[in-house]
Amino acid sequence: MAGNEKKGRPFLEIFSLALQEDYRFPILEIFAFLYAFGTFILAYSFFQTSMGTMSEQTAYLMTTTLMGLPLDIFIILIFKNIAYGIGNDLEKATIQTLFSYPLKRASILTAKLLSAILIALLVFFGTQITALYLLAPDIVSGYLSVVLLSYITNLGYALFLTGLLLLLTLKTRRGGLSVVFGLILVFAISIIQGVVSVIEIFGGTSWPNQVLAVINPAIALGRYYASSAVSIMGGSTLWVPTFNEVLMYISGCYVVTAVLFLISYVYFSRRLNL
Amino acid sequence: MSRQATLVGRIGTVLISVGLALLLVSLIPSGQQGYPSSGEQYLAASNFNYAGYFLYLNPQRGIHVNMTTDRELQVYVFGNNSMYVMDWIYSHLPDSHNFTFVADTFMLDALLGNNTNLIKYQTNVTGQAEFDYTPSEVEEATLIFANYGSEPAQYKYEVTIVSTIAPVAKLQITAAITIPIGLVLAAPWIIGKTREKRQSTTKKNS
Repeated sequence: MAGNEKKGRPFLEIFSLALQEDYRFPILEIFAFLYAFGTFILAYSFFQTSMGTMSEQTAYLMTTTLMGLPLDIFIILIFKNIAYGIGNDLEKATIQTLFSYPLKRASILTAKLLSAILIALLVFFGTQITALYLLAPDIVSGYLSVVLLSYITNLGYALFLTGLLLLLTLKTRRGGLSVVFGLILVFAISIIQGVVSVIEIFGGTSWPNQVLAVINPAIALGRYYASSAVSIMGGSTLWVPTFNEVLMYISGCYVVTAVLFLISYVYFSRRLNL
Repeated sequence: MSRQATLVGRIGTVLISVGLALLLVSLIPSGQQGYPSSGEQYLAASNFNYAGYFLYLNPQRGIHVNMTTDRELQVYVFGNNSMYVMDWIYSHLPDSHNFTFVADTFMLDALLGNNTNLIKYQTNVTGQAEFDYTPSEVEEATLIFANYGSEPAQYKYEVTIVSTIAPVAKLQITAAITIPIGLVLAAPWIIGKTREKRQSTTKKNS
């Protein structure tokens, strides 16, 4: 018991230091404002085009519309905290100070990640739940499972990017460079998604999209809910996964993300020559 | 400053910023969407009529109705589409082969009596009148005009879709709750911070 308390204090100390670093006043407040403002502004585009009927598709569309911009803001905040925060600690060797604490390296990284991701997630979900409650309580209560699945799916991609960026940051050990890499990564994946869609429409081959759906299961979920609208371009039907396949893609994404975090932990604990 | 005070203070400042965002969104004025739909109709005594087009409404998408009539009319916003109204009337006629009563107000009363939960709004209109209706949830709606009088009526109406960014009242109530709570939580932290700054500047000056 006493041992646990002793271990807990340095952990909290590092967690608190990371919080102070990641969310200096008024960074958290600005991001909270952007989350809330972005959510309601995007909600407008959904509610002005939505048809009167409620369905799983409506619930899916509403949830993805509402979280669109806030999810991008969430990714930016995470990038700032990980690439700039942890990256700068490694670059300026301030991480050495943290290594002097009686804690395993893995615990130090956990404290840093908790600060970087958990608080951003809390504010993200806080504003999203408020928005859902204010804008469409009937859709949320009627299709709670669809709403939750949409969040889990879209968050999977954000966490995959986070894992990849963490690994890049640990490898490059430079804050600025990691931010640049992270931005290039996001844009590159967006461009690849566009190219892959074109290949599918004109080439008739859907496997590149299926591969991409492993890292971004939102593609699979989107296709599943928009199955009636994917017959385009002269009647050629695009790839539409079954619900079980969608669940497999989501699980796949989380497994890949977990592997990325695991590699980062191993690298931080054993291979980081500091 | 203790960690607890900082934590509570920062929760307060976050609540204030979220409240301010909601307040800002609620201040964005509502606007007319598309072109107004209008109609001019003759309505026989003890008859009803409905606007045939579909109205897709939600808490951010309401209607503004402007109408004039030479007789007293009862206007309803019915919470389903006009196809439902038509199907219900035709399937509940006293004689399925006799369509004399399809526009009779007693059929309307039967429809409304069996679907009281779908009467979303009703008003009595004489002369010129305007009213607004915004639902609290996503719904399809139909405007129904009923002439319960013994004289035929002539009426004109114009329906405009009015859209807002978000349900203004709900946003303002939420902002009115979160901002004061945020202020109460943040006040000790802000005061403490200000004192710390003052003390450090006094030390520097001395």
